[in-house]
Amino acid sequence: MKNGNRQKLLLLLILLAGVFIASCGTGDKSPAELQAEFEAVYERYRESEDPAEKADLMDSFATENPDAESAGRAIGMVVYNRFSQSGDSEGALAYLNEKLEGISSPAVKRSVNLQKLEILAELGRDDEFSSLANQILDSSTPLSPGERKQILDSAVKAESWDLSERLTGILLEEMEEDSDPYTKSSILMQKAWAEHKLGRTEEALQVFEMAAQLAPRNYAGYYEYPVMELEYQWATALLEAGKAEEALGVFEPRALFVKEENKALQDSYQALLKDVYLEAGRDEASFDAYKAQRKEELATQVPEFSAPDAGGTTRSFSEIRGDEATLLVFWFPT
Amino acid sequence: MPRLKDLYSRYNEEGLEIVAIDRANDRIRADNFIRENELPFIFLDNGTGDEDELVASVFVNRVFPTSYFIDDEGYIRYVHIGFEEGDEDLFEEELKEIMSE
Repeated sequence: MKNGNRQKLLLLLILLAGVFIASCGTGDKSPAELQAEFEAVYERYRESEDPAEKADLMDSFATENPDAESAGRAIGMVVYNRFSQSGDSEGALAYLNEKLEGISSPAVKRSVNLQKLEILAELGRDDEFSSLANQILDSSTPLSPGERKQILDSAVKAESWDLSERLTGILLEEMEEDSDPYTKSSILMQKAWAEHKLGRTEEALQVFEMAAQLAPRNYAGYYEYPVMELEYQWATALLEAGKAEEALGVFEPRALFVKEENKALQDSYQALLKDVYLEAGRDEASFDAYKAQRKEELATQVPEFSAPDAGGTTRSFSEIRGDEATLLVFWFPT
Repeated sequence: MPRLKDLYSRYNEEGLEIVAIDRANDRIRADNFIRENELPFIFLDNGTGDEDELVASVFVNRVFPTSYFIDDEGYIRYVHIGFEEGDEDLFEEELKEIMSE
């Protein structure tokens, strides 16, 4: 073969290899086609009410298109519907490991590894958690703030406080001046909790205050998403710093008025309220009377407001509220 | 929301009103849901924009569903975050307590 032809053949082979690598795991579909396919599957996913069917739909997509940009998201939906709802973390881990074997795309692999990190945290597999977290953090591909936040949430779950503190520091440094105050508050809260867990409670208390200033209490007097653990963590730190009276002030609105969907959380709030109350030097026999009295003192009155009803007529709250009681429900039609 | 129908039918005449505010601002979806489930409550629009939106400007509410039990003087007595099966019973207990005062 002549040199010119040999070069052409080599070029052709390189080109073919490139096309093969690019299409590996996604067949010959373009990113736009894959996205359209994912959206069609997602529409069926949304329409289905059966978790098993939802999981199967997304599993088929992820198996057929392991390197598609949406494959990580699809795998996450399988984990949620097939394993998380039944608390089967071992099953979720086995599934993620199996999927990882078929993925070539570094971006999809990372997305799945971030999910795996969360499962390892849930399972309390500390060594594997640290090893994978460091592997992700040391990777040459830069992490987005969202990915760092995902690792942080897993680190908190794994009670890996050094890592939590390191990540909160990086995230806060990266944040712009005009960043969403609630997100910033959430990271500050995690920083404060990590500092408290690392034994630096006085510094932690200052950071809790900063977090509280950025995400103020809502109308009813408690802190909302994404800092709904703020009162619990802040009051715990105050209690352990010997400031039980201050802890009561932080903690009372939520503990006295809010019924949490998560019953375990609800119980832990009630237990903490009693601990804080007793630590403040109060008498156990007066606990119920104290709660009733403080509920009366702290209750907020709904302000007058008006809005159009379903027929378009503007109605004021004072006009429509019940004579004896009103249940005001903020909802999403689903 | 449909699970509150029974509570409403038993206590509405005694002075309970249920007011629902649609956070999604999706009138068509909300209307369909209300019609399909034959919900008898008062439904209000959340409004739009920073100043008109009830959820953001009045209640600073970020978790849904959230329900407030309010007494006859307009004071919030209980807050429920989320809604689980069986919560209807808890709502009834709280309602009885509020009404007995």
